[in-house]
Amino acid sequence: MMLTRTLKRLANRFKNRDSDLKGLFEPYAGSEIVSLDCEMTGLDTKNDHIVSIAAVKIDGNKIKTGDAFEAMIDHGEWLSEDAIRVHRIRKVDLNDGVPIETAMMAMIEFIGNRPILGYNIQFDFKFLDRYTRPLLGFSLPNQMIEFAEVYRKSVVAKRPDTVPHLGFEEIIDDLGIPTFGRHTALGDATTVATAYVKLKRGR
Amino acid sequence: MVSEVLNTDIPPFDLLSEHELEILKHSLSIAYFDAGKDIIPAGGSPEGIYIIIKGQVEEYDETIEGDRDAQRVAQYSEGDLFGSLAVLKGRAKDKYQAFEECICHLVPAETFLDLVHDNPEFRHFFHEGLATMEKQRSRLSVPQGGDDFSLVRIRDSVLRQPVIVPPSLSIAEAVNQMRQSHIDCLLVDCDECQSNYALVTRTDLLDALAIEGKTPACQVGGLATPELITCEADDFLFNALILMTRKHIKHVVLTHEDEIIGVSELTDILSYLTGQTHLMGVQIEKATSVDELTQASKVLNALIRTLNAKGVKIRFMMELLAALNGRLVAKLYEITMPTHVLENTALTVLGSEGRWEQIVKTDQDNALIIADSFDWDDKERTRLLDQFTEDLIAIGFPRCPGNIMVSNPEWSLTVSGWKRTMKTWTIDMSEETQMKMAISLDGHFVAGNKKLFEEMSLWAHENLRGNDIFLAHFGQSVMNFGVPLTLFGNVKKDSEGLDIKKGGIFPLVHGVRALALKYRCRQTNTYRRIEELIEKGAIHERLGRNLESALSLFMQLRLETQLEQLEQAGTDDGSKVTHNRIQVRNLNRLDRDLLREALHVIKEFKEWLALELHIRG
Repeated sequence: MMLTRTLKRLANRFKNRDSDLKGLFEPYAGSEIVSLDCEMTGLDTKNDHIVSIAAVKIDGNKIKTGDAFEAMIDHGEWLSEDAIRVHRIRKVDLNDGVPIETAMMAMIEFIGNRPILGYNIQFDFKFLDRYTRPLLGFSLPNQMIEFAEVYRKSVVAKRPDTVPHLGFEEIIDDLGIPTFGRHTALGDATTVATAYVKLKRGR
Repeated sequence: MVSEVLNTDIPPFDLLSEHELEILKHSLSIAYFDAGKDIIPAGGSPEGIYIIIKGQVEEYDETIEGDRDAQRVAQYSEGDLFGSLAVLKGRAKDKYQAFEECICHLVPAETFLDLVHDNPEFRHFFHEGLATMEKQRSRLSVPQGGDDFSLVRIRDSVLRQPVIVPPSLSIAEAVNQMRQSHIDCLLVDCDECQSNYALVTRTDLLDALAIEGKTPACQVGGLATPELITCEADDFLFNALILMTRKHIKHVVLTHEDEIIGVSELTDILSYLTGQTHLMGVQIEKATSVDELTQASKVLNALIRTLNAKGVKIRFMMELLAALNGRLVAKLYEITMPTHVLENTALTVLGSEGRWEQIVKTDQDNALIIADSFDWDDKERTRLLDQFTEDLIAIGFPRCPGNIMVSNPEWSLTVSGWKRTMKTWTIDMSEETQMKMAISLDGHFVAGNKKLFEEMSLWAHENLRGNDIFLAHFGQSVMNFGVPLTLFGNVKKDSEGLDIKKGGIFPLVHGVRALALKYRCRQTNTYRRIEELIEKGAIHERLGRNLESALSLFMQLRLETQLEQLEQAGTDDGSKVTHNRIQVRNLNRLDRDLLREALHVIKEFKEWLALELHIRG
């Protein structure tokens, strides 16, 4: 899976060598990472939709909450009751939403070629790819950092015998990180970012 | 979404405009620090100001000699803001270190300085120290929907146009005039009077007709009172009420720049306050027995609760309660003592009662000054004074644990006896005599022959003031208790709470008392002492104002713990108040900030006082 993605990235980098988006394919040289989270109407990567996307940059021990990216998507259609229940986003909340295409372009500009951090990040990418492919002709080429994996490694390094629980709440609880508005994309992205900084910087 | 995280509804962020809040929000980041990490190193220029989301930060002044505990000047926890001073100065004096893992909001220095530059209110919050912070607190604690009536001015509330009549007016015409004008008093032209007017009230007219046998045709000129009791119209309504309670009168004449501009009646003020304050005063005045005084005294604690809940400023509350308590004690003395005793003795309340700073009656401190020429039968004296102390306990003034009461012969002396005693006190200078001297210097006359009290008070100030060695020793006890700044958040001590009397009230009150003695200021109330010391140039105005604010805060916090203790004990008996400790961790962020500032004021005051009074530390 990862290998095919890498191959695809190299191929797309070659295809887009003269386009405006070629910067996306350059290896990232800076110190920042982007923590990203999407909220969807359900778990079906083919038929469900993204309702909101948020991303926040991490630099060293800081999470740049003031300069965060957040978009509500207006699909112009009805949201499933389940999604409403989980995310507490009602149709009316999406009134100032933007079309998915607009949100994608803005998001790509925000994240650039930075590595992307997230909990179950491949799942989010599957949704994002569904939109970027028709829009740009390629999947997002950014390096992915799986938060649950970073956590698992740090636990195992300290306590080799344990099998860590990898549920989102369990991880956050174990790290003692305050949650910033659970079930909002920006809240979760910020929580994950803070936990990541702790894992990377903490002793 | 970010606004959910940083609460901008509380000071100082609620002082920012919508636009400024946007700027603030877009500048924010969250910073993570491991335990033990320096967030702002001493001497470094800080990245910005921090608001703690989780964790604890300690501030160390490394120029202080001693161990870490001695160097720790403050501790900050969840919700606290730190680093503003360092950003404003461009350089941190102290070191700020993460005591445990810390997650903070960070407002970059540049943004913070821009906001401080552009928004004067925001600037004042950070610049002007405690006096402004206190304003922020009272702004917050004004009860919803209710007026803060301690801020209402007389002119804006109860001023009535005066009705001026010639002295030749008949009683009948005067009554008619009152009816027409719906007023209970008239100003009568009076050429011989100092203010050109005399005051005649409905009661005066009634007395004249019913008791003195005057006819309705008599002229009002001879019935009016030539000495007017006046109040400045721009003064607070509360002060008019205190004046009326103190003098037990129902009308005051209002002046502005020495011109009479109106009158004010008690009933009008009552309609504003709707409380029981004056009704209580009336009840006290009407009382003819100890039982009746006890009845009047019973509602006092309920009154305190009402006033506190209404957000009445602590300083006004103290004065009002002092006035009521003072009348209560005075009335008891007047009821129970025969005339020859009243003429030859002066009853004095001491300590916090004398300073008008006791709100909840936790104990009684009183003394008696007896005329040298008074040949008082020993048996009668013992019987009357013992009974007086018991009666005071019965009406709600708990027994003094230190036995500073008139029933104790040590505190009931002749004028020359007092002079001798005070002289030995100044020579002995043990801790015990220091305290006795301190309480005595706060003495305030309440009943009997005032001349005796005046003589003693003048003598004491004349004889003690010039004695530098005495002053230095006297001031020494200010240094006895450390400022509890290092106790903040310290888990072990936290369970006991912070003793606000030892750590804050005592050093402040006693330091001011020592200065008052040095500068011949004969006020006994701490606020009034500070005011006079500022006027005399004895202390800097800024320090003086900060001390006033600090004292108000300490008193407020102490009142709250006292009321809580009474509530828990399910009683109004002030002797059930056993301590003056407050739980720092239960305070909200603003109160904690205020308390820290206030304790810093005390620290600064103590350092300055040590030099001023030549106290060796």
